[in-house]
Amino acid sequence: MRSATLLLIATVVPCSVNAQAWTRDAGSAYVQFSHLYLRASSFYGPDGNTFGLLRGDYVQHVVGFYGEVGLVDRWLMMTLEGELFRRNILKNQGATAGFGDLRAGLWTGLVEKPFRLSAGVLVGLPTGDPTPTAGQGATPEEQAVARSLPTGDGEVDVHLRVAVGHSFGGGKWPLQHYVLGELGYAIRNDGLTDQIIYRTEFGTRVDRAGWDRLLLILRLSGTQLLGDPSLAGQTFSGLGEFAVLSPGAELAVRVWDRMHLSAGAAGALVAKNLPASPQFKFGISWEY
Amino acid sequence: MRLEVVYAPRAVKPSSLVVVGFLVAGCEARFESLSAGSPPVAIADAGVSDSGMPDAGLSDAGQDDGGANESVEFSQGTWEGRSGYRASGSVSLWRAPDDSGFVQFGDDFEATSVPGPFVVVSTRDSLSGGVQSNLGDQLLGPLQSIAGSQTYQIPTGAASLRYAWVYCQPFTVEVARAALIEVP
Repeated sequence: MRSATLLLIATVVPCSVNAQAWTRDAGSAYVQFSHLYLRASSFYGPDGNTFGLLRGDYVQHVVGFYGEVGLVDRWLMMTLEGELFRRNILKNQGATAGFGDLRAGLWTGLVEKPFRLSAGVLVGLPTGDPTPTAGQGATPEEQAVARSLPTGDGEVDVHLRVAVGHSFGGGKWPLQHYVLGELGYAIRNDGLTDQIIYRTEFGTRVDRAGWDRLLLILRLSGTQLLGDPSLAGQTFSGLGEFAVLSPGAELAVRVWDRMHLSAGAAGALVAKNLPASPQFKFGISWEY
Repeated sequence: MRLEVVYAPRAVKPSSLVVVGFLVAGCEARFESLSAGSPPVAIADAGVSDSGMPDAGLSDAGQDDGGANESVEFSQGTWEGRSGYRASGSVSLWRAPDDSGFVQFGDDFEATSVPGPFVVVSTRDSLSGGVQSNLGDQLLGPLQSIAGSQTYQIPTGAASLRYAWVYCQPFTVEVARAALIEVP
């Protein structure tokens, strides 16, 4: 069963970006590059109601990166994730582009049987630009547009997370599955409100030659603010104060040896200070 | 069914992972204007400097500067949050004989910090459709501060103005509004 679990993990983990419930053996690594895209004509305000953009849509492109490497078998894994490039566009007004924020983490595997349990500490690094400018000579309107399109949240935050996972299925059952749950607490600074972060995920693969290249993932994730978001600094680009309950789906395919391609989408059932639009993600990953 | 392990972990040095944490913190973003072809919403020309700040001299608000621009307090209001945002404090509108004037935020003013806030005055009770000068809206300039006293010049039509706004111009969101009630 352990081998079956490892095989499923080897297929699953590259597609489930944050599968830290399963830590890695020393020397084992995984890396994924992704493109995230959304286009919104309306936004969720701080009270959860939507308001329309009257001057043109908001478009966001992000080139994301996620990597993890095992340092000590089971006991220590390092992660690094972030936005290598972020471009925010307000149609007919202006756009900003640049390097985004990063987050580095360390995970340890506490329990391996009968389920996986791990804990991690992640530190957010403010490598993006929280207050872009339009440069000298720009009009007040251009400066306002630039300031409204940050590429980073400008703060160092600390996330404490615990993740649990279990894989099952196969044998007489034609499908293999995994379930994953994660709960985290984000300690934020610079006047931003602490957050509760949670995620649950269910993956399914057909246990048959040829079909086993495909993996379907369903997930529900969320972020909840622990204070009143209407008091603190607001942006609408997913940086700063926001809250969301988001369902999503992803389909991944193993195209060659250790390389996978994936495509997915996520929306919002309820949200605050976020674009009212689904976000689409396309990724490519390798496992070493 | 027993499945074989497919992948044998190889020796990988952590340094071979692309580590970009050494990058200088706070990489500046590049801005690109996309307003070409779109008519800008003009900021009311009432002595606002290039920085968007009202011209000097407003510290003498309400005082006689030799008779040329003696302003009197015309109306007052209290800020309230809009669209789920918070705002509080007082605001007053001062009017000169030539129907110009200025808006004076009270020391007790505060509002939620939003991107791209501007001050707008209008005859309308709602900025639906955005700031539109043909409907009596006047865009006075960028909000100087999310709290405290501040002043904005009004070039004309001060007596007809009924509402003051804090408005997020890029995302076209009403942040705060004050109904201006005429002072008896």
